[in-house]
Amino acid sequence: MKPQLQNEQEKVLNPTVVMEGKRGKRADGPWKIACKKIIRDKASMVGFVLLFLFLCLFLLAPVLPLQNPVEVNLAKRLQPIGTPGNMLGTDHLGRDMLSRLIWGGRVSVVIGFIAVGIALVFGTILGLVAGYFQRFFDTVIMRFMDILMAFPYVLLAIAIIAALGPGLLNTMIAVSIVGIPYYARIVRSSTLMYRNMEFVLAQRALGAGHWHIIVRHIFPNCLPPLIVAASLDVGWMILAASGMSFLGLGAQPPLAEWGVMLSEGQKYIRVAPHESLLPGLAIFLVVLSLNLVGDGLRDALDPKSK
Amino acid sequence: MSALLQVEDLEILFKKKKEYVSTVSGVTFHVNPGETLGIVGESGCGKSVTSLSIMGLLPDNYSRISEQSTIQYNGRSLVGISEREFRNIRGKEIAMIFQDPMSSLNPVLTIGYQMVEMIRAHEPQLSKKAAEEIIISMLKKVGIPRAEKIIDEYPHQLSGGMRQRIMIAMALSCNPKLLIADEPTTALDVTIQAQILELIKSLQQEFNTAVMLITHDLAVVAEVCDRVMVMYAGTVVEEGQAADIFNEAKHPYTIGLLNSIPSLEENISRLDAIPGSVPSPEEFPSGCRFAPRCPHATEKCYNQPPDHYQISDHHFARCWLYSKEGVN
Repeated sequence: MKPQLQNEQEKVLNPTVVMEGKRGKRADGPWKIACKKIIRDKASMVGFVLLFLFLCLFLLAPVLPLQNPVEVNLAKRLQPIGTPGNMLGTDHLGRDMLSRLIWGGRVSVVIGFIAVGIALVFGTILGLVAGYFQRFFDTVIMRFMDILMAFPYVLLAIAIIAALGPGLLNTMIAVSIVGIPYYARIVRSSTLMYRNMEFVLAQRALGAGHWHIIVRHIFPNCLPPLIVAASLDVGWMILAASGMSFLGLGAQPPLAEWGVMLSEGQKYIRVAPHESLLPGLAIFLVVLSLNLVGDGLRDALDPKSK
Repeated sequence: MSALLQVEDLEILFKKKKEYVSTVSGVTFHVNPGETLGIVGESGCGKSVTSLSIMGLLPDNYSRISEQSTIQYNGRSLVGISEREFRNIRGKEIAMIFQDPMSSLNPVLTIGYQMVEMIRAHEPQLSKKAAEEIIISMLKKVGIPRAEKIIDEYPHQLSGGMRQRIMIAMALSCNPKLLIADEPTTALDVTIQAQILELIKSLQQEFNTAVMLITHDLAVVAEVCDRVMVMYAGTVVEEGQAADIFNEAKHPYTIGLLNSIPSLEENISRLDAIPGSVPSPEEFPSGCRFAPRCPHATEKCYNQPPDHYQISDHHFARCWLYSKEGVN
């Protein structure tokens, strides 16, 4: 070793080296930068706070002083909002709306997240494999996705539920299967773009294997569109699951679920609009907060945004 | 002294409309340990394809190397070995840097992450901390100030010259014996070009790495190369010591290339350009591939491909002008 000479060389090659001091403070890590960006972004903060409040409410449902969501009290049916004892009124069987909304939210939100999770995982894997390896894999996977997409989604979901039997879990499986092609397509198109970028070739030239490149290099690049798609899709899945419940295939009464509540309430929309409006509003707010969160996350996770 | 890399009769075929067309053919050359070989030629001469074939990185769905080609690295054949075997050679034995530093780093990962990951892929026993120490010292060697901070930054925060330095640091961090630099300075400013060349040269001496420098810039070749190989339309037209090529260029194509460099001393209003352009592989002439653009071409040049003719000890040209029987 010739440290002296090396040092001289450095000075010649780059004069700034001379000015450099001792080991400085490390720059912020990627997660810290992302958090800072989210805090700066007002709209996404609103989304995060809203979502956080909803989740707290749903998690705390068992300990909150709520009435039994399935207890029928026919003497107090269709009470309007603001009735003493029933803050948000009651439904057509005299069940407390507030309690049903919160307990129903637990079910709906869990369905939304898990269904998106399943669709996301399978769709991403299929999309990455199809887009990266192309040829045989691409043809087989994407033609299968086309078949799934060719069916009207409600029909397909109904067909899957018909095969599996009605119920909450099967509804979840059905709507997530219907959602897979959506993710597979998004991921495949990003993969097709990134696999031909020079950094992939550079990585291969440095000895990286195919799976390594897929998981560590292409997948992170696919994340921004995926995050936005997934956050929008949670709302969509909640609606789809609600739709299945509305049709009587998902959550079964008397279980509180927003879709069930909507479908029961629509019969009384003229005399007691709150019974269908409130679950509708709840779905709207959750979906809105998720969309704001999704937008914020996309910007925060993109290293190029300032 | 045995050669580090020995390529013989390399032929690369590309699929065009269901048929394989020969692009690069009859390419023979070697790289000795620690030396710099320049590969020069216009765009589309097969320089990059030749280097990708050495790395086993040709797109396998529409290109292949013909059976008679041999590529020997350190006595080991690189033709037809498995992807897994290749992976151990890439990066560790032979590393490559590319033309465009702007796109050869992954935009969503930090510099440090990409480098650590690459080192640990080849040396899994290293801890993250140890790998980080290595890359910091490596980054300092390539002249990057505040290396400790750079490792937490993303590629877009750095300039092209810095990124190329990082690529070089990355390529050299596993101590490869051969570095293939595919037009490493083309996308950079002239001042940065000089720095990068200087850097490659000094690191080469320090690590005793052989360098295969691919370029279309003759000035770059004059600056750093020991030996030069001139390629035209997929064949080697002239090969020799850098001094031979610059002082006594023999092949009309090399002469043409040298004449098309503007000179500061002579005040000329027109540059001598080589007329025409490189033909596409389907249109390669059956004789000498340069014949249609050659000022000395005769009947024979159009009909029979010339062989390599020795000019001096290490100087060869593929041109009928230098054969014993002559042009006619």
